[in-house]
Amino acid sequence: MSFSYLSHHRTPLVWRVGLALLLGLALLGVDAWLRPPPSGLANALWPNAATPTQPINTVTSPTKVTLRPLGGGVIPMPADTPAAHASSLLALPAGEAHAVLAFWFAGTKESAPDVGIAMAGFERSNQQWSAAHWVVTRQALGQQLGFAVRRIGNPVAWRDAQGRVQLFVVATGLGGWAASRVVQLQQSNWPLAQSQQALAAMQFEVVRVLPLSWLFNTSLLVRAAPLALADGGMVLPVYFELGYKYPVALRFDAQGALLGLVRMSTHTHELQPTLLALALKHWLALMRDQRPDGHITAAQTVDGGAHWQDLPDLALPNPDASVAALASAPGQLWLAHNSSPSSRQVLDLSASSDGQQWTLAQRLAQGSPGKEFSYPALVWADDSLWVSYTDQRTRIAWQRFGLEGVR
Amino acid sequence: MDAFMAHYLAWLDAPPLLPALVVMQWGWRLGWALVLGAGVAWAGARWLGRGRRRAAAVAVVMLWTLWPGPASPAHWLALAFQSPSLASSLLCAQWLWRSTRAPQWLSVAPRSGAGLWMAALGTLVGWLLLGDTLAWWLPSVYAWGFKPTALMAAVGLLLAFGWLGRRSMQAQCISAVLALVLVLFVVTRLPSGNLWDALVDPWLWVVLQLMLLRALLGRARD
Repeated sequence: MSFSYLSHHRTPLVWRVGLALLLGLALLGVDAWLRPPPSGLANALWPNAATPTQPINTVTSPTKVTLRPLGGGVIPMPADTPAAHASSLLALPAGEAHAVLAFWFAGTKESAPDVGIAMAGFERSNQQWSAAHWVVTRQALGQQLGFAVRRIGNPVAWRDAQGRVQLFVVATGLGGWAASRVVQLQQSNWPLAQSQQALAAMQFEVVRVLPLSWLFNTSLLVRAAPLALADGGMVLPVYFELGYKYPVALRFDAQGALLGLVRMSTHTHELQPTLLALALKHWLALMRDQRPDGHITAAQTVDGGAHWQDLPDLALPNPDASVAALASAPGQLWLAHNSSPSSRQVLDLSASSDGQQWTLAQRLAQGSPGKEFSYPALVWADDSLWVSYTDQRTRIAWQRFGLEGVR
Repeated sequence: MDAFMAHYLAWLDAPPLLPALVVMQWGWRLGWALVLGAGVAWAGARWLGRGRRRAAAVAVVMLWTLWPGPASPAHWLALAFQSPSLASSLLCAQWLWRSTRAPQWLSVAPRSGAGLWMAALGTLVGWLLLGDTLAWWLPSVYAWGFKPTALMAAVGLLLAFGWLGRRSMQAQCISAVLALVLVLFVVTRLPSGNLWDALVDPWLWVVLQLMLLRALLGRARD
């Protein structure tokens, strides 16, 4: 790289520095003109709490609640797809034809070229799941992005302030899951007609691949649901997993524009973070532990996600398995997790009021050795708690619970 | 004045501005076309000479890379490496421009002066970004690349090289390349909306380290 060919005449210093100064000021001016305005402070929002008119800055006292099963079963699969994994649930507001949308990846087997993102909706009128249909395929994703995608997975859905569904999926580059990137898509045909049939017409278009890492933008994945914010935006937990595993929080505005990213832990064995709002700005992240004999790990922020601190591990063991947490209301926390130290054959739902002390609320699934019930997802919709999880890597199971004893 | 300060302080906290998908698609393709075109010009100097055959080969490869879809090399290069930085693309464009005028097929890397300092700075920034990616340290250098303060730092660097240019032609040329990178970045936000991705990519970082190593070994031999 030689520069001597460019010029044989030195320009006077005053011209050169003056020109650089003018150019620099012009660049900063244009940048200031083009950039969106700063976002406000991040305050959490709870799905089962009235919009707080007063700031909630402390954890409320626990209330004993019991779960009442309201339904359960298996979400219909697309035809000829023997494998399914990593479901994500999205609550829809009253008035929509569906209470909950479920997204997951399915195909002949995990990482197969034919794996796509499937979706089904729980219909309010007949209390049944609709037939599943594909919303994202690897080929379509690559075509829209303008570059090849080797495999896709881990869909996470969010509904923006306009009511448009945004979908975040993992798309791998050259390599396995550790070579992943996070692609943001949004509903292209919006709003849909309020009918059961309209769901099958839901389509998504790529917004962009999110720029999250300097190293070829590789090895950032998404898995758990976002934390809703009072401004209509959200915080999406993602994680790095190339050798070191660490969690990262991405903040989005109400339209789904990226506002920034913050690393959530100094530890390098934590992945697949899931977020819980303890108070408006006091949030907890619970994570899968990659270490042998690991426990669910934790980190917290007390300033609305600007800074994070590591916390001691929870007492709950974690067999290197994904966990899902949900704060349905202040002090009303739920955690779906594999409770066995070394396998995924038991899946439990635990409850807590502070995020530190958890008690078993419901055994969701238990199988013989070798069986797997994993990758849970939680959502609050229609005054009830919904759980979905991978059942034997072949299908997505779901359960729904009502709460009794709520204040 | 207060309003100006308030606006200025608000801008310092402004969120990232990311390129639109279509801008990314064409920007990335053009970047890879310049890199591959420069590669063909470099390799072709030996086997194709400097005439029309080499120019035709460069043109064919660049058009092939710009072509949308899986038939394009850019479709697969972006799978693995996403996009070259604006700095890499501009240096390759320079190489292409120069290859039509000068006979050499490989230039001599700078052994001293501003070029060497730039290589050292690029190497340092690359290590900081790699360490950030692998969580070797807590402050997120990459996240800083989205903020206006990173652009301010780059403008400061531009001024520094403008000042250094009083004695060095290399510094003048570096400030010209840096100025072009910053202008393109501010206007297009390519390649990703993050300033570091515009300034140095991992492959350029490797090249800068090789240049630095070569210069240091050369100095040691001298």
